[in-house]
Amino acid sequence: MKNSKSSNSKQFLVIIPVFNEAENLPAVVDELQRDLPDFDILVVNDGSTDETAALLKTMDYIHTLSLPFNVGYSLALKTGFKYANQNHYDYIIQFDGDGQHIASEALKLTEHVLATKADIVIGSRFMEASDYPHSPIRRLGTGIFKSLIRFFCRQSIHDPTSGFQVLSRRVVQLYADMPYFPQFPDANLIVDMILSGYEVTEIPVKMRQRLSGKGMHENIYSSFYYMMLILYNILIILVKHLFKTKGESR
Amino acid sequence: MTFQNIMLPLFGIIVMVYVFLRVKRNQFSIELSIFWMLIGFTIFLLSIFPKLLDIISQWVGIYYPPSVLFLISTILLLFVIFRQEQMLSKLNENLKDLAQSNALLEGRVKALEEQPSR
Repeated sequence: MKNSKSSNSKQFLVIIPVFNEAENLPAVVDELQRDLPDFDILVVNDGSTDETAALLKTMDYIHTLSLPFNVGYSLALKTGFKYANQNHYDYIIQFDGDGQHIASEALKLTEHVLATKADIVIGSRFMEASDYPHSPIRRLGTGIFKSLIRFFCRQSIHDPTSGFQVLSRRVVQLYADMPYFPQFPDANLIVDMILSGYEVTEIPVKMRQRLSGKGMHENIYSSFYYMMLILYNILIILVKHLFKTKGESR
Repeated sequence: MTFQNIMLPLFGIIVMVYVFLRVKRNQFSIELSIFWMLIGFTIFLLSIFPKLLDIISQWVGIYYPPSVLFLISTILLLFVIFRQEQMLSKLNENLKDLAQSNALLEGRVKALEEQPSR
């Protein structure tokens, strides 16, 4: 499929896990190709039931993977990590398929990661005053996670639920092989990585509202479930690090 | 301190520690472990404050408190079985899909291999 592309020549892989994003995807891919011509793009189709699969067949200029059924965002992402690992990319960029993330903003992240050699660079919506609309319940969740990270990791992460991240190769390798990779790889994973000694930094980026359709955690029940799960997850991670014996790295 | 005053709370703690260790050693998913943590915590709580059971039984109008315990545990167990059945049927469907897509892929690979290489 991708024989025309020379392998190993590119440093960055943009990973876009998608589930039923046929409406938004063409604009997202066009923007990425226009603004980041040197980056490879991988779309992981997570068992979409709309025209996403057909659409991807027409886009033979990007890399694609198709999962046989819907496995959820986190596993689709992990599939992308495995692909990046197999193809030896130096850095990957997690990118949303719904148009929220802005391609040119990714450049800020990659420049930062190249300059600082950080392991994880998070694109943050809340470091500068922004007009990004955030529902009250999600704002509460973000606030709680932020305080927890500040208290336990002694580090300020303003937007721990941002999916707009650049990961270095060693982080990608770790995630790709991590058993029971969390269902929501958010604040919990950040706490785990900081406590494990990885360098996690954050820089301000702009984001858009999603172009069309609904995102994850849109109703009260799923927001609540999501928050409880992350809080519980952080608790487990904290206890895990508390009892970690010396010399045992992850 | 009677025997059960020590053993029951201890049992609750053992359940929680065991679940935590399974999660820590990556042998149990965090999402599924919440339920069993709560079970361990409930055993611990009820064994320390047995009065809780009396309060609950008065609240739901059952005169014999231990039967509340049986009622709740039966309902919970039914819930767990139902959830497991749901997961099993979903896993089963996924497995069938996976087997089919694997067979199709194998067919495509074989066809590609038989093509004379350019």
